[in-house]
Amino acid sequence: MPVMEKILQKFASMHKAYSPEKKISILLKTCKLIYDSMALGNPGKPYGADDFLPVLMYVLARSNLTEMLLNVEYMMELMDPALQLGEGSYYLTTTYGALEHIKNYDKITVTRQLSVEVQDSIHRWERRRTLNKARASRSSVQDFICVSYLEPEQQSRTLASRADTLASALCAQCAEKFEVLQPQDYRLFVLVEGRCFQLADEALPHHIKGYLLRSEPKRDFHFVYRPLDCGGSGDPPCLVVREPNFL
Amino acid sequence: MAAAGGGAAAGRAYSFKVVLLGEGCVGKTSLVLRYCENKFNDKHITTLQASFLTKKLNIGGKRVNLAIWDTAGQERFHALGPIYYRDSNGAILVYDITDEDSFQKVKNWVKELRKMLGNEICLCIVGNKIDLEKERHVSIQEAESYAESVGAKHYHTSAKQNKGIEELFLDLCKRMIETAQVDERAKGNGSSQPGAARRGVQIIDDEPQVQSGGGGCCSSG
Repeated sequence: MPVMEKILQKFASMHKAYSPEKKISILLKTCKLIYDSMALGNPGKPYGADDFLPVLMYVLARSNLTEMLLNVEYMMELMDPALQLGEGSYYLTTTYGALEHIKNYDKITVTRQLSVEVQDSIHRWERRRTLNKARASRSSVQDFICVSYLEPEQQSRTLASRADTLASALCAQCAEKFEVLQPQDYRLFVLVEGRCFQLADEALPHHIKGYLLRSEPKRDFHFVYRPLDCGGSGDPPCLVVREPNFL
Repeated sequence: MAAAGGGAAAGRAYSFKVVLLGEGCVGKTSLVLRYCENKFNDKHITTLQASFLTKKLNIGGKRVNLAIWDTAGQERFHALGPIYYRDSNGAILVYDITDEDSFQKVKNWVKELRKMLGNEICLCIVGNKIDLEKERHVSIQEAESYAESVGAKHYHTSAKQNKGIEELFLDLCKRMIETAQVDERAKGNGSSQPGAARRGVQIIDDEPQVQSGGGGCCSSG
């Protein structure tokens, strides 16, 4: 298959990938393909940015630019802050720069400068990533709550829900997400360091999540959606909680 | 924490980002390749060529992880500079001693960097290709006094003969460590507060998953 086609296929699979890490890993593989194809003409010659950037731009100009812009923005927003100085960050930055260059080709050639907005958005990304670093935790994103199905960390789904959502409403959301047939038998539970609590229908999951996130020392916790009698007959029933003061 | 001022507390490492700037063909890529090649690591599946390289050093017991970001030197890509040099701890500005014009480009970069980042970034001005001394078009004295006048250090290197490169990076790392320590002291003990990350200086806890094999020694000769 011609290299260009292979590269475009990679971009397409990047667009389909969901996790930002997966997307970045596909981006790196694509860059490798580009280097490999450059090496065909001149084997063994190491290529730096002088050589790579123009080729990357050539490739990007032939890709689906709208999708690429979306993907780059997505990765920039969501990539793991720990990777900030890494290879993924470098090639993501380079791709971003190349796309901006293509987008504003005429303007850049005249002014020799990226627009203030572009420079600012890079800055904001970096700031956000570094600021969030300390508390980068999947479950700490506001307005989202991560719920596992049946067991902690199994089939986890991150559900969007407002801070004032009741446990009963979140249960309904879960029933739909996990496609359970008898939602009346299922409830939302929170597991805190091995102890299990059932959320009362009128409890506020976000309230409880916030309380757990702020608690010192840090507690490991998981929200789990599962049937009421899941623990088996031998286990004592879970405490049903409404306020986060149960701990 | 007492560790913040000392910097080299056990189990910690400095992570620095260094950006390479300079006109095309001055030898930026060869320079950094020469420096990193003995650590060039093909086990790391995504290690791609020479645009992005990493190096681990141990300087007087302080462990340093360097990430070296190459930039495209062609004039038409000048505008992309800021997305690379933002949040860098150091910049290596390379010119070709046989090409006066490339030295002028370095001066332009210095101006821009000082304007955008102030004195927080450690600048190195590097006259490369000293193996071509006979064709020198940039006087040593002019280059060195210029560097001094802008608070940068000047180095002479030959990527071809592997001269001066080790010194350049070692010296730069020492200066970045000093700058980071001054920063830490200025911040008192707020070791992991967001401000620490403003310039990209991160003191990170050591983790077992250190990517490249090899010892942490800085000698590459």
